[in-house]
Amino acid sequence: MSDVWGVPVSDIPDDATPESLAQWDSIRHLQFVMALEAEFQVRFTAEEMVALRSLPSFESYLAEHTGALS
Amino acid sequence: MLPEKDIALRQREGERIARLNAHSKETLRVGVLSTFNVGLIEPFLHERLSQNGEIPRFYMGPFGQVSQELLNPESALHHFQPNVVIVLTAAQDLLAPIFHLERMDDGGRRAYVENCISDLRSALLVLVREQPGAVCYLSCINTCEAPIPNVLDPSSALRGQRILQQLLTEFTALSSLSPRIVNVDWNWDTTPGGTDLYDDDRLWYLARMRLNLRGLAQFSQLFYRHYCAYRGTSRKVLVTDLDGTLWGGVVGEAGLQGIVLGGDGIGLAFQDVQRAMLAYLESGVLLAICSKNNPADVLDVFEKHSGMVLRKSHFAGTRINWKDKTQNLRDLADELNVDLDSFVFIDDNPAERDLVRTLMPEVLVPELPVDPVQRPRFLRKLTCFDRIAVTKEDRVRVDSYGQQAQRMELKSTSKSFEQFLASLQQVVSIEPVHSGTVARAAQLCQRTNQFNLTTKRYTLGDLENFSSNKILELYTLRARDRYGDNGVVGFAMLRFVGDVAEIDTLLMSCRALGRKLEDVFLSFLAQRARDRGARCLEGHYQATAKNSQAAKFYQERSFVPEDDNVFVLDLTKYTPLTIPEVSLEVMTIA
Repeated sequence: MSDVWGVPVSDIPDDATPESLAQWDSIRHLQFVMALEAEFQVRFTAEEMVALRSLPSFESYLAEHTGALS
Repeated sequence: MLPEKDIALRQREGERIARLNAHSKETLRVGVLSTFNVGLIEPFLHERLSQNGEIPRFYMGPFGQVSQELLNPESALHHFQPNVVIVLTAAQDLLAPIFHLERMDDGGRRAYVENCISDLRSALLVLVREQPGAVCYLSCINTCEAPIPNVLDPSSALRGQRILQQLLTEFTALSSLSPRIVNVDWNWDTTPGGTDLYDDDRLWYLARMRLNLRGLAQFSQLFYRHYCAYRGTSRKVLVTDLDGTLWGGVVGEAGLQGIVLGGDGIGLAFQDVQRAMLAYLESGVLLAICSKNNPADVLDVFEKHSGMVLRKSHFAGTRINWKDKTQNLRDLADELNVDLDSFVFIDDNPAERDLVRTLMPEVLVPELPVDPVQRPRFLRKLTCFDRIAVTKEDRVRVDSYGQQAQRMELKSTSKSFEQFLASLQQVVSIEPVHSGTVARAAQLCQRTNQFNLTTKRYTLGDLENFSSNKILELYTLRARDRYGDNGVVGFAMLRFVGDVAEIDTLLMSCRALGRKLEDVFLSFLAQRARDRGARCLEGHYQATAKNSQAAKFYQERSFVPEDDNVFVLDLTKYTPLTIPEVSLEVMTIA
């Protein structure tokens, strides 16, 4: 996350959204999604990519699809 | 194809280098214009260019505005003053109405393509004119996707393949507008892997990105190949081993008929290895042999084996003996007058490869696959011999090394050096640099190491700029003799400041050295400087790792040293040198 947004992890709030984190623009959003896909071996549909718009929503998605964060 | 892990690695590495260089002065200004969103390409380009030690700074144009950015001299791109402009287009974008299946007859479609190309042509001409220091890398992706792909006949107008072929033909012809426009052919490079590896429909619909990360990494790699080839840093000589490399087995043991070489099976793979080398020869690379054999066995193979593709005459130099291979490579470098860092050494024996790699790190030693059937493709895919196009001089060079061998023969039969030179019947023509020679002059500036007094690496853009500067005069020297035409082998630039003429640049290609041509050139420069009213001629020398042979050049020709780098000749007391062994033609001075 820190890599994608170029800010220290400590500056990213647990409930970050594109609205609350200035660096979270649309292109970083896609980079973030692709980084998650590579890391967790998941594949988001285009609709999911649009719908998931906060850290908590990504967390629960990954928990559901991989069990990795549960 | 790039493995998945390399893509992520390159992206992270590029981001890391970008952060590291964030406060350093850039060495390269790269403008990127595209018809679709390539917003994620920066780290990939960063990673590639850093391989060459470059610290790039980027201007990413808003996508879909290629022509606008190029055409308007006040655009952000022009203000950025790029050295490199990447123009990345997609067929679907250039021909959007055709891909959107708008009703158009065949003539209308053809006219649409022509319009589109003519727009690009005008836009590129503005770039070439406004940014004399910029080289443009031009690419069009997805020209192999028919608008109506389920119509299978390629000649059917409905399928749209023909119109795409027309686009591709005319698009690739755009590079003929200027030597500073380089075509980057995406389709031929990527099609074997299938283009659908390189896109991601989600990215297209959500962000107008036509290439995924793999696509961007692949494009950056392809661009970088062209960038290196354009810079002229590619290798010049391929040195090959024989047993186990050009044919299977050891000829000294298996005998002439026992070696593996022919039209089938593994023998065919060895033939294809030879064909791959022949292809390099055709493109101006010199071939040489370095092997441990009895020369008579080898001669037998070359003369009697029906499976041989390569002939003895294809090789500019041969070292067939039992000496250490590094010694032989050094001898070859001397004989061919080419530095070792232009050498590529091909050998199937890992021990020989290691030896050369360890003792001569400047020689490139590819890790030849163990399995012979993998070698032809491996050799064809080497990028170390890349060149954008083959110049007339490149082709001449391959012949001229053969001629060089004849010249050597003559040298040993002539009584004195002067007699030898006179018998060569050399003719030199010196002329101001013009549009037909400027590309070759820039190539010489980039490549010449040994006889290069100041080693200023001027680019094509620099030289084009200089040509219009009244205080500068640029000259090329072309040489021919009874054995053939050597082409343009020398370049010099004079700068006139008050009553002083400075020799900013003086260089000669190594294959033309030692024949008094450099004296002819210098004598011409002195007379030219005096004719233009200069009272003294100032020669400059800047030492590099490779040009020490030229350190005393001016001193040995009656110039008075002012310090280690500046040498002065008083033109008021100068009597022109006569060099009877060479006849000189001076072309009209513009």
